[in-house]
Amino acid sequence: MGALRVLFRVFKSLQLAVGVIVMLAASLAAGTFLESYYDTPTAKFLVYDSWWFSLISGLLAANIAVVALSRWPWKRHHTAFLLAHAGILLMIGGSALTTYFGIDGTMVVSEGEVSNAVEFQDSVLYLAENERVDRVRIPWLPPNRRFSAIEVPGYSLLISKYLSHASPDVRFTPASGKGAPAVRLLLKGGPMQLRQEIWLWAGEPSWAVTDFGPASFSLLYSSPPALKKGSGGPKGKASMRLYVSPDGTLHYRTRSMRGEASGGSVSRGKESMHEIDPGWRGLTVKILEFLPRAENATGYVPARIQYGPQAPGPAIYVTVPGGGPGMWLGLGDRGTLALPGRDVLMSFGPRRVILPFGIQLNQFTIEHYEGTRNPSSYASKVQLAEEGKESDPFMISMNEPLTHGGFTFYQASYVPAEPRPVTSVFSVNRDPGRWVKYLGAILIVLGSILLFHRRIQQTRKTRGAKSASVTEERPL
Amino acid sequence: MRHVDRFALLLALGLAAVAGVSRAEDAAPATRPEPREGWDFSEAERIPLQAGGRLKPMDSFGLETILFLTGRSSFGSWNSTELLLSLLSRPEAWQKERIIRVDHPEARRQLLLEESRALFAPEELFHSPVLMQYAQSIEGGGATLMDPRGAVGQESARERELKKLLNRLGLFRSLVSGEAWTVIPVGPGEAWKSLAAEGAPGPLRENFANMVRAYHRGDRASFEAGALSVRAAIESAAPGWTSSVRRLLGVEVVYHRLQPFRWAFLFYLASCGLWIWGMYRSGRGATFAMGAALAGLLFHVAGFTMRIWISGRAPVSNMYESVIWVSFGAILFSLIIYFVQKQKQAVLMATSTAVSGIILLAADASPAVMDPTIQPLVPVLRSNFWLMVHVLTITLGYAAFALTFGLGNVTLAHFLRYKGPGKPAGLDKKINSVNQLSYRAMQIGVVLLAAGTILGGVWADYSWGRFWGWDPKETWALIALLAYLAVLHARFTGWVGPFGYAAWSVVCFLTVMMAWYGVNYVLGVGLHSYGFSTGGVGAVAGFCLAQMVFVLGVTVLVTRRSGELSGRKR
Repeated sequence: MGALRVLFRVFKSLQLAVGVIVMLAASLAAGTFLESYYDTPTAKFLVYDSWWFSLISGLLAANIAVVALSRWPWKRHHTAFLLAHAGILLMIGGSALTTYFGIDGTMVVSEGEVSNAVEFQDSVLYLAENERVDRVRIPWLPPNRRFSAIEVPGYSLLISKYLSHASPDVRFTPASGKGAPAVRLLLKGGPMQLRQEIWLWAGEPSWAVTDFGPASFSLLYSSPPALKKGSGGPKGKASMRLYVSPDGTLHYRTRSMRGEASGGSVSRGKESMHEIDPGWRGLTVKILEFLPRAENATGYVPARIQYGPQAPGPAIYVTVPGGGPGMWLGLGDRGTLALPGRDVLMSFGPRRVILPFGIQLNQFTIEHYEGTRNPSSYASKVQLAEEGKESDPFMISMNEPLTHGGFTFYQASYVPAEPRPVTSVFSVNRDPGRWVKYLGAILIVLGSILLFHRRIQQTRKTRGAKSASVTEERPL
Repeated sequence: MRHVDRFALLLALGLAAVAGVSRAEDAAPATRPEPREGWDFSEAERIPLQAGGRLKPMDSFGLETILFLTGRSSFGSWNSTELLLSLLSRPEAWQKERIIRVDHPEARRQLLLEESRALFAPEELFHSPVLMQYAQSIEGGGATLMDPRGAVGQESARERELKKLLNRLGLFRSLVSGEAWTVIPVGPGEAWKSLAAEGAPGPLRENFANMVRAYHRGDRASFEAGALSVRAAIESAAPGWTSSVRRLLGVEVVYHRLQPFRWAFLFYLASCGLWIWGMYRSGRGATFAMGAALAGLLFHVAGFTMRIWISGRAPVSNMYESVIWVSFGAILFSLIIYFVQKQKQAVLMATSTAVSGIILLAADASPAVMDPTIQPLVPVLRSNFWLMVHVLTITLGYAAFALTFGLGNVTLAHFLRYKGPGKPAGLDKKINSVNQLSYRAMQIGVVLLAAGTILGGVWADYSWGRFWGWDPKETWALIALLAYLAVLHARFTGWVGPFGYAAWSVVCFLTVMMAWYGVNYVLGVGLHSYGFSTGGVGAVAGFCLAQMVFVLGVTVLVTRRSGELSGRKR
């Protein structure tokens, strides 16, 4: 009982209140400077979402609650004091509800499409084996924070590395046995004075074909078709197809936008530094490297941009303890990892919540300031997509959100594209603490007005009796 | 004569490149452009023009131009409208005039310019290879000097200055070529055309060119007649032109001529002097002092009303407007407290007039930091009643805190003479009553800041879908609120006595400075980005530092004199 009483006395003290308020203010100030120096998610991680920040808020709440209880039995003159402080408690409680039970994510929808997935900043690794699917949540970490490896239960896998903002480091290495051919090309010249390297790899469809501007590049593991010289082919997209015939020789067939075709072969062993002129207005293609058998060693490295909205998404490195090399997975990547005797399919992506209804984007509109590329406003015409229900179109614009089923959708940004952006980014919120906070807000304002009003009356009454020395107003 | 013809050609072709023009200099003796003595520009000043998203008189455009090019509110003895006309009529002569500001010393060094000078001739700048190279790198879309942290808006001060400089040169170019002169009205809803635009209606442009030629010749009579006819022609061609629009433009000219806020701070400072004088003369002259304060308030309110009238909105969109509002609030609260209290306190009025006067003086003296021009609102602020209410409420809270801050300093000054209870006689009473006033103001401030912050949350919840998002602006408002709450609670507990209260009320104002100025000018991140700007960091930091030094100095002095005075009692 004694310890409880001491605790009660500590929490009752206004000195603690002052100390906690000062601590709170100081951490908030630090948070804003961190946000200015790094970026918003980092500041949130380091300060606002940290355990010690919750602790300070909790201390303040406990302090206020105990101080209010210590005035028991409450009298009429306590009303103002109780209102204001109950308001603060409700505010803190409401914020806790928002933090722990609220949803604050983003939804990306392109014109004509329907989405019902709200994405968050932290990510999830999905693992599939036979019929079984598991998910491992990977909390977001700001750059340069130590990542402690996550064990994946039931799979004997280890997520051993994490990069907050990663960019792919495309790389193919020579392999023996079952590797597929790979080629590294350098695109050079042309009207844009381009200089761009691309990798092609026949091992996976997504790597075998690459679109670059108006031209398409592909690498196939087969004999080339017969060459049809001249301009007989269809006009349209320019293309360069590379073929590796079974004997390991590299052939190429090109087509220009005007439909002119050409082609040839590269003698074995002389592939690298071979230059091809496909007749694309001065753009030439140089073979930098040719690997008859290669395996994908693409990994991830920390992105050049580590802070701010332009920083790319995270990447993880999954390893088999005691096994062979692991595998890098960037946001949106899939991969298969061979464990002894079994294959595990993995997919890495942002954490999502699926809503019971979808949002269909009918049209995205953007307006610019006269003669500039600075957007002055943008808006999305959307429609709710719910089974068996027909709903009217709604315009979501800045300051005009859509609320449905407890979720609020507001226009956050868009994906820039030419000639016009067609993909809209919404921020999606659900705030179970909203009305608690509103009630708290009203009580705080009401209470503090009453409190100060009462104090003015009090001093009026006591003015006559005031002594000449420096005095205090008595606390409540 | 050749000059004038070339000018007509310039107009007709809409020549943009000034660099190619300078070779025609041979014809006339190279005199410097001088203001014409005794000319009347009152007609030309009122010629309407569409610029920066709204209709405005030539006078305002000229003032904005001077501010933008030179970073000062005036340029020599030039009338703003005459300067514009002179730029158009003698482009090659203006090439040699030092009219363009290069602020950052490092930028000057990089451009191989004289480091000790702030204003440069366009010629000097157009011939700077470094600057032209930089301009090309920006045009080529090459985002070159990327910060390693990659955050947007994190350009270095030097880079910002170079960009600003290019914009200044761009404006100069379009002024001398006629492109900036959007005086030719087109159909309703369309952007007005400039003198240099192709397909602009001929007669109006010819009319305008005649007026400029008359100015160039020095033919006063035909210039003044020309200005009148140009104004009439534009007004009759402008879509949606009514007599109330004409009146509004007239008000805008009057607003700029009158400079109401300058009068306001002059009266406030005079009033402050009178109040202080009265305090040493046993309360004499209070009527005069109050009269001066009210005269200042009259100008203040008049300027305020004109600004609202001209812009058609509550003036809370930038730092300058919030400064006007805060200084108004400080006077308002002091008058309320002064008249409500039975015992009339000269010290309150002396403090509030000093605080408001100094704030307005600072705004008036630094137009490059606090932009006084009237600009249309960014979309996010447009037609949003609750947004306006929350900003006005919060800044009124700042006003109350500014008053506490001033009164806190007065108390600290009193403590310099304090020799212990009752010594010198009557000082305890003085300190008590000043603290009491400060306490009132702090209460008002806390209620307003709390209410305003919460209203901001309500608005954010409505428009962004969340009540609170730890945005730096809202967070700093909360920090300021917490700081004052800590002081109020420490006062209840007796942790701080009269001295501590005064000292902390001064220190707490620094959090308000951070919320008010620092978030926009120092941190520069977050959703309140429409108020972001640069400049003045040194001055504000110096002010904060000086305050801290004063508070610490007085604290050391007082504690040395008597350990008891810091009010620490168990």
